[in-house]
Amino acid sequence: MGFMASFERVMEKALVPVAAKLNSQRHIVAIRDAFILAFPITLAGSLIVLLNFAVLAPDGFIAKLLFLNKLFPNLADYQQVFAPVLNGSTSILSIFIVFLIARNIAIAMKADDLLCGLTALSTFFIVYPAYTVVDGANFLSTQWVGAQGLFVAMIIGLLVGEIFSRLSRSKRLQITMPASVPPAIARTFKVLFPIVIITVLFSVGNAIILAIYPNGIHELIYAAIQTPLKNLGTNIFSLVLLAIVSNLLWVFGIHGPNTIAAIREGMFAEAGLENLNYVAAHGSAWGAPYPVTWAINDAFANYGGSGMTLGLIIAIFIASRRQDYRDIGKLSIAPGIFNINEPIIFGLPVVLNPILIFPFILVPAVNILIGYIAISTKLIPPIAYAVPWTTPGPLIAFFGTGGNWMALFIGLICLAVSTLVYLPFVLASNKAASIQQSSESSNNDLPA
Amino acid sequence: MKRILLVCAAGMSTSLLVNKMNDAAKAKGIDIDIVALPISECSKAAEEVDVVLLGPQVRYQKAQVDSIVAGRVPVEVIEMRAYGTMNGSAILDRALKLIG
Repeated sequence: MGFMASFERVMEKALVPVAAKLNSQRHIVAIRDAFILAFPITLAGSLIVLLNFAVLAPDGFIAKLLFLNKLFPNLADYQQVFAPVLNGSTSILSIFIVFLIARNIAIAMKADDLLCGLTALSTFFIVYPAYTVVDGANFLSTQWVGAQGLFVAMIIGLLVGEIFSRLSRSKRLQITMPASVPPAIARTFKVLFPIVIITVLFSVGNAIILAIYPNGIHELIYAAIQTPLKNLGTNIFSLVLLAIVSNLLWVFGIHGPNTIAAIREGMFAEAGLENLNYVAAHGSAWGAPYPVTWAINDAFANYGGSGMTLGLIIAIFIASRRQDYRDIGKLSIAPGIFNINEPIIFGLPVVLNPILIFPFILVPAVNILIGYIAISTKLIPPIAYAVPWTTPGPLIAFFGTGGNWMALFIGLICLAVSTLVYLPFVLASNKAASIQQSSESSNNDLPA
Repeated sequence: MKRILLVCAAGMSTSLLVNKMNDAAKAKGIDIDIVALPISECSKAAEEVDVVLLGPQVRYQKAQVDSIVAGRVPVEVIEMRAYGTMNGSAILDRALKLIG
């Protein structure tokens, strides 16, 4: 206990401040929460695309299951109804993100958040590539409003959020209206100068960049930052490393996925959206451009939540003789099916448990590799559809591949592997807990 | 009526706890209002409650919640084992004690 106690103190001292910094630093939080808020839109788009291909394509898995193509000969014609859904969701994600990041910054800095978000949106289109005129009509490229524009959106959201919030706090820039003026009008004049300054700043800045780099700021940032970061993210080593870091944080009782969310989105968001666009265009996850994304973690290594604790719960039911373990297992199974595992992490606990730390980190890493091997050997297609993280484990693999039965099977294998790996550690942890308990009770028996 | 705010990362596991605490309150015959929210969306709600309790997984964000509440009501991190075992009764008692 002496070792664990001092180990715990050292980790508390070293890790908690870092996690606190990452989770309270307003720029990181603004990015993280912007993606969290935009996620339901992406998800809805993704689900409709999935249903569209599963139900309305003649070779979709639900269509085949229910013989829909026999009942409705021109089934595929109805697909066109839902085809434009992505135009209003993932394909304009950058527009959501630029607004939300600026708004989040303004909230953190106690400025007018709605007008700050709108100013950032305005700025995003001020620096946007100019209209092209075809046959006398204006056309705006859609290239940078979706996945490829994410970094420009993030940078502009942060910059406008900061500048707007600071300028609107400055008393000298405020036009104060007499008390008789309606508040809505007073509000306009309070932020008018800051908006004018931001507009001028970004249009001049844009002109300077265009003079040096005629392709514009979007291509510049895409080539200089976004593409290298995407390449860094979409390989198996980064994926495993990020998963290990995330789970390691949980071992110390810190919410890992949340802490690394901003970094993770920067590395994987574009690849995930490109995959989704691919399946929307091709109707199949086979050949999706980015086989390695964070989706592999959710589809194969997150059953029950971080550390794949569904395997731990099953291992407890199989092998644990301790009643307290079994009680926690029972309490944890229902939330665990939906990948929520705070009960088992804090109740068993896994946190700072010198034995369970090892499988908690090892199991997800192994399962990511199993999923990766299955995808890279073309046994299953990439996980290309976005599926909510609260979907019961193996079903994420099934739906994420557009209804591939083999993926469901691999998911079940991953669950079996995680259970097997957890088993010996559950036995050892049982034994250690019993020894600790008996030594504690014998200490208590000592005469005072 | 006393109001308790629970915050965690996504408001998921604290929402489990809300049910357990409501059960405990009913058993004790206490009339109480308990809400669970993600930490990113708790600032408005925090202004209208009598106590704020944090899940242990977001304990490093206590300073953030402290600054929102600005000393108006007590803020505390829930004890780890009580949280893990979803001990609604013990956590409810602690919350009531903090409210005073």
